[in-house]
Amino acid sequence: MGDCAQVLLVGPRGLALLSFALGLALCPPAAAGTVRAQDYDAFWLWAGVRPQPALSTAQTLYILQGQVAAPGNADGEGRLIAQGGAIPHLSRPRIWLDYRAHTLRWAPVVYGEILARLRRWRTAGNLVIGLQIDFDAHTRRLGEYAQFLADLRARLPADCRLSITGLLDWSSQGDSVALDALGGVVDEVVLQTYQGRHTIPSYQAYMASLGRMTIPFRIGLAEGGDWTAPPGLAANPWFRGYVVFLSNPKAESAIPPTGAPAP
Amino acid sequence: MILRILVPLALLSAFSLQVGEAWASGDFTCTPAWKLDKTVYSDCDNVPFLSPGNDSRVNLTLLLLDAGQAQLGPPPTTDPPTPPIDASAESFSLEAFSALIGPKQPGAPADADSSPDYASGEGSRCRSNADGSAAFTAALGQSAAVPDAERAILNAARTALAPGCDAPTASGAYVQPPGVRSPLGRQFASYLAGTAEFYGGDFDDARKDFAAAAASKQPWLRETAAYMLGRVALNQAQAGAFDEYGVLSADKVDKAAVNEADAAFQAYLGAYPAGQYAASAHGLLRRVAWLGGEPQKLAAAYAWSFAHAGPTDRNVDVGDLVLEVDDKLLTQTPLGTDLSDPVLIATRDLMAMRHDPADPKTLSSVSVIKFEDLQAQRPAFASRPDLFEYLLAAHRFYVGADPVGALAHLGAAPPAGPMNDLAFSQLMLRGLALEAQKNFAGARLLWQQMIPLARPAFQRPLLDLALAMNQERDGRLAQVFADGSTVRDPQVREILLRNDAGPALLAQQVRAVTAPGRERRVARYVLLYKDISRGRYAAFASDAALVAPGAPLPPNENDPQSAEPDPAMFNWAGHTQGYVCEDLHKLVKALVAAPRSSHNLLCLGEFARSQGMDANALNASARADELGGAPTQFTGQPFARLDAYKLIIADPKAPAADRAYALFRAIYCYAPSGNNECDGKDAPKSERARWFHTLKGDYAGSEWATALKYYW
Repeated sequence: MGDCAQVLLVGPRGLALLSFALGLALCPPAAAGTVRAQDYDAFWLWAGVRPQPALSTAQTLYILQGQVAAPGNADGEGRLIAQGGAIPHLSRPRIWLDYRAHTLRWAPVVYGEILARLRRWRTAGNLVIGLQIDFDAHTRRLGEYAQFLADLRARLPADCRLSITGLLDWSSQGDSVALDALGGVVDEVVLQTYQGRHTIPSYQAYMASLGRMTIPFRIGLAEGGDWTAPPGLAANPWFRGYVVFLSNPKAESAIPPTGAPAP
Repeated sequence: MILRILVPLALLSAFSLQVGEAWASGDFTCTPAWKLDKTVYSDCDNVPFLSPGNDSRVNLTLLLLDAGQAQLGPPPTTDPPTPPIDASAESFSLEAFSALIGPKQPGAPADADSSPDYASGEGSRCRSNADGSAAFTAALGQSAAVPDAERAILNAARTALAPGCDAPTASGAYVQPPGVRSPLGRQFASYLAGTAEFYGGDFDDARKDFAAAAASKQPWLRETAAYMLGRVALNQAQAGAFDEYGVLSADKVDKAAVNEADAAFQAYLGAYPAGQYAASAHGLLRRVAWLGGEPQKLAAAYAWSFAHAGPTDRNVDVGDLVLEVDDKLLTQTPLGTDLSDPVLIATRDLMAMRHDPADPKTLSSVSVIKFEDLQAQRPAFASRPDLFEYLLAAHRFYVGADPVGALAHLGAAPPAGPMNDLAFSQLMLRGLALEAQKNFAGARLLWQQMIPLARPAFQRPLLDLALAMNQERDGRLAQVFADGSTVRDPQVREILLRNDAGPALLAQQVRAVTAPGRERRVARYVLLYKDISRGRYAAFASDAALVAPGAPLPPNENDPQSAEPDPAMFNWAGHTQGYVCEDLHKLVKALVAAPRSSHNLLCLGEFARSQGMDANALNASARADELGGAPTQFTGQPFARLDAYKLIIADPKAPAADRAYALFRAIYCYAPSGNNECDGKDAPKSERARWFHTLKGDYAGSEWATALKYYW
């Protein structure tokens, strides 16, 4: 670790502990510019996105399987609508099965459907390491989300990990108690730096607060979006790398889908 | 299935927290645009009339509502409770809208089978195994010609089948259990073998065995095996068509098997039009058309299914069918594909009118339909000339930016009665075209004619937005707040108060005894905030003496709109430590006397810093094309901390302690991210370096020089 890695570590109050070299320029970012799939090894594969060459060297894939949407029944509970394709036969990459949730009140049957899907993936020979839940939890309601996740976790087999996507402002605005509660439940959080398919222009302002994270986290990037790694990210003890949200090449998406799918 | 969004970039900045979120904290959730003419799709920007910006599934549902093929129901109970979308002018998400759409099938989930292992829409032939086993046993039980012992053997063998349809390789021919010799027992055994082979992926053997069973005179065997012949062919057609990631490759579909499946299901439906598998066969015929790459046939199947909701016709509810048609047809077919059905073509055409006004090259994209191509569709709309005229008008307006051209397709008669969704869409577009021509009086007359005829759900609240935008752009803001104004939507009124209203109107609304308490509190807050931030110091004391009613109830966390601004900030007590400032009321008095004094500006900066005024939505206006985007009547530039610090830094006459503190604070505007987090014009890093060295050099002895070790 050189000097650069010490430049912008962020303390518990969000104040930066900065470079020892007074007034000198900060170190250049570890990586800057447009996100290209071939530079990364972990990807989201969402519905409607065609597989592309970068997948052949992928180490980790997050593959959409469905969404839980309310109301699925008279009680207003969410039901599961499947979205993945056929169950594949992938020998190499580690796989997370991804579920988008619009509600945290799931009909009881949903849990069984997800676990059965997990079993079928594994039976087909895929290396499924866990589930990822994609839910836009409002910062103020992280505590409730943590409770939901603890309950979900208790239903999963011991060898199934739990990942969640996170909003960038959790780290800056989130109640640190609630964030810590999440840390006790999930194995990782993948923080999105984009909305839809576009990088959030102000993402860098939020990056500074990542020092508050006490959960293993990855940074989610949009293919074709902008990314400049903030100084110190690589040295953050909780940082576990990137996940790139793949999109179809422009020429193929001349017919715009209803919207760009995004976790 | 498509989940989310292309959010216009302009909406994304966390530092322009837009009107809807003004009082809420800035989560990165979708922010609706308060406007009516939308050509950009986003997750939460649906309006209750046919619009290119709508989710295609919302537009389709609106057309199905008009056709009586879907119904608008009461909102479901949700936990946590959410405000009803149909009572507000705010745009909405697909999920919230779909929740209102029925009829829904009783019970949940609305699946064709009772398998606990498969989600709705999860495609696996194995999902019918449990139901199939029960049906087999029941049919056998009614077949007295099969001896008891054979029945037991067959039942045991059927129950023992535990297929896993996801095995990488297919099974071989099924070895039938020994001991079944009766003629009917042999027929059941053939069916059993077909079943095992079907689930095992051995489709050739399954076909032979089901064909044998279909020749039986036993009614259940005969009917079920006939239906299963279709499923065998269908599964064979797709067996090699999914790649290693589970994605369909159209060129790997077995076309002969697709045709065979088509013929088998048609034959089944011919023989059993109301058969127990008729609804399933209709649904699987859609899959046949999809696998076969025949969008026209698929479109016809959807049109038929929307029109036939009976239990032997369809086993999915209308909402699921809308999701399916979008996923499998509307988003998959190139522009120009003949979809035959006017409703589906119209939905597809509206998608092809999307473009981003902020990015003009999107308008010339191949995904945008040309007017001539639209006109060429006229024959397909022979049965729906009204819908076709609407599309022509929409193209003129949204794509051609030609309101005159649009009006030529929209008629001129005043509305005369209740409006269905197409009629409402036509009138909305007519009003928007008049607005675009700046014929404000004409548009206003139309909105006012529509108001008494509007449906309470969706239509009536939306007209508040239309009329309010008209009034604010026509310089008639006061009319919205006059006695007897029909604009009642609380969010619409609040947006106008926050963005447009001048001091007199704000003070009037604080005093308005007939206005809702919240509106009066918001008016007072905005008035005091802007008095301070826009330099209206002399009026602050008397404005602060205005009284708004009652303390607000604790906000409902599930409804960001219920969060109110907190007037406690106007009781700011100042600082007794660090850079010392007196309380706000004394500060404002001092500002009246000396608005540019360095001490007063620094203390105003302390107030702004401590009370969250940096990047506050009240420092900016709504976007020009949205509600609240008319020029504000509250004059004066909003206070910006960094600008104030720069003034003091540049003023050689400012006291040393003040300059040192201004340097310290200006440098801190860039902590910790290197981005300016105060309001005011950005300073390059070289200038920040200069500030740092000036502080460390010229003011080396000051506490602020000591306190600061770095710059950003």
